[in-house]
Amino acid sequence: MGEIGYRRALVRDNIQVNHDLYHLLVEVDMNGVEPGHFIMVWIPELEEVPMAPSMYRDGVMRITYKVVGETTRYMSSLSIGDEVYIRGPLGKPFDLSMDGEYLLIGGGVGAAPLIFAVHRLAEMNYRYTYVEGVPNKDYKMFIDEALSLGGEAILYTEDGSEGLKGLPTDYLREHLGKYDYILACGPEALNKTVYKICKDSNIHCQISMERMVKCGVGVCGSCVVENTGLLVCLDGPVFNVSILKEKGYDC
Amino acid sequence: MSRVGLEVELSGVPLRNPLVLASGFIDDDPSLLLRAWNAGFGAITTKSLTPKPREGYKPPIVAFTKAGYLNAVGLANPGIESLPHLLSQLPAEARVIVSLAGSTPSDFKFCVEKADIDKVDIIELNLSCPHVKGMGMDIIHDISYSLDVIETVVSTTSKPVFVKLGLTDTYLNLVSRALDKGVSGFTIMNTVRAMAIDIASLKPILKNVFGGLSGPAIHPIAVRLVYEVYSEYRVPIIGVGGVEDWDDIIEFIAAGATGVGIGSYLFLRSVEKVDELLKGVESFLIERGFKDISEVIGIALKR
Repeated sequence: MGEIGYRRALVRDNIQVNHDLYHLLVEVDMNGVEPGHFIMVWIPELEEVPMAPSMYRDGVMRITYKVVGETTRYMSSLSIGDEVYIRGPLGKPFDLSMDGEYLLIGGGVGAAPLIFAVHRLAEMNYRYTYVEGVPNKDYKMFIDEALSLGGEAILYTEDGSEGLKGLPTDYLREHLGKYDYILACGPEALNKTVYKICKDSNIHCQISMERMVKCGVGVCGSCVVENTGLLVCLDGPVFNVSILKEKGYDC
Repeated sequence: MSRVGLEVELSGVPLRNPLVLASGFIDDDPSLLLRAWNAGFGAITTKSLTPKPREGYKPPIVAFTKAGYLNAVGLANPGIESLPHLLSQLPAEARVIVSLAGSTPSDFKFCVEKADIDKVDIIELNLSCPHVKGMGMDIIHDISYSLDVIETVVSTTSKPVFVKLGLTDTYLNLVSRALDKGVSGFTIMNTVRAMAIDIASLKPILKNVFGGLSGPAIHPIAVRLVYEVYSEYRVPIIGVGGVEDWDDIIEFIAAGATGVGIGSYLFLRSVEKVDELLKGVESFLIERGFKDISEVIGIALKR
């Protein structure tokens, strides 16, 4: 019943990272949640929204969210001691079982499950490079955290205000051969670019996809990856590029 | 292993097996309908399509109880005009049941005209959705209004028309009068209006508060309705409600169902798992010495 019932999550902190991005820290017992899993965060009387935790350790979950609508706007007003309700973990997480060198490519709030993966990789002493793409330096999220864990971290800004100017996928294009495993999560445009770069190579690439998840348990069909027959909530959200290719995710 | 016949004929439509993907499950995209067909279903039912697209309710749209599942999707659908697109990836041999919903006879007339295309085998009228005002249950509670809808649809299409029934006290009366109007068969039954309260928050879980209960809790009720309708009228029936394993399928068929709908079985299961149901049914038939699944239809009524 773990993935089925709601758990009460007590707000420990709600930190504004930049103008529309927040870290919500909650106390919730959810052992078994892995990087790439998603959860449904329910605010009674508003809505239930899918989110990917950006960290979980010892009963404390960090949920990194962007204010996009009524429910997330309400979330931004939560303070210490408030409650939200969570069901999960849902879906299939990243496979981090292979020893080798990892490249993580994240854009926007999509970087959330990737920084969780960075924590896991660091614990296992795997080598990684974390690449984050944001519009400008004010949107920076997890670069310092990834660096502090001992790996490489590279920032791309679209306007060149900090780090390298361009998109995080530029890095992937230039350094594809250097890595054994690619993990990507970002807006659809980033995911598509990663897919296009990796689909004809033999590199092992996992992409976390985003669609409109409503039921979260594989029945309503609203989170279909168009044309592939794949459901983000049940078959994903993390997909191997080889599966996407086989099922005809041809952008 | 010896071969056993799983083929059935539903109102003249040959199905490769009795399993029908119930309406409303993973049918938002042509690729999902194809995936369900490839998974092995004998027929695929579309979402209930309405004249215009409907966004449906906001999440939570599902809730879990000890005895089954609740949903309040709110008849979210892309509208009847999208039907040719939805069916576009299915092969010619796929069997398709189009579910229709609406508020008025003219809504249904509009929809059935659009559904009267080659790829469609059966029209199913959803007169029993328990959680959308002015549609579904609100229609079936009014028998004369239901009969107006049925008469309009039957006179507009030459395809077999099934009526999806819900749990009402008057359903046998409706069944008899619907048959007089030319209905071919019945899909029995829809979910039952219900709700769940989360005790962590002490609030109703569903955004819509009320939803439809499916799963194990409703299975014996559905079996009873199928049995009653079959014993009285010997008409084609698709039994739906709470199939969780292959034995529930046998039970429906023994009660008189020719087809068996699969819905909440798919909660947290990939659609390919339907194969396990089929294998279970097949093994049972072989073990018990049946040559053909048709021998089991209504067998519980024979004395």
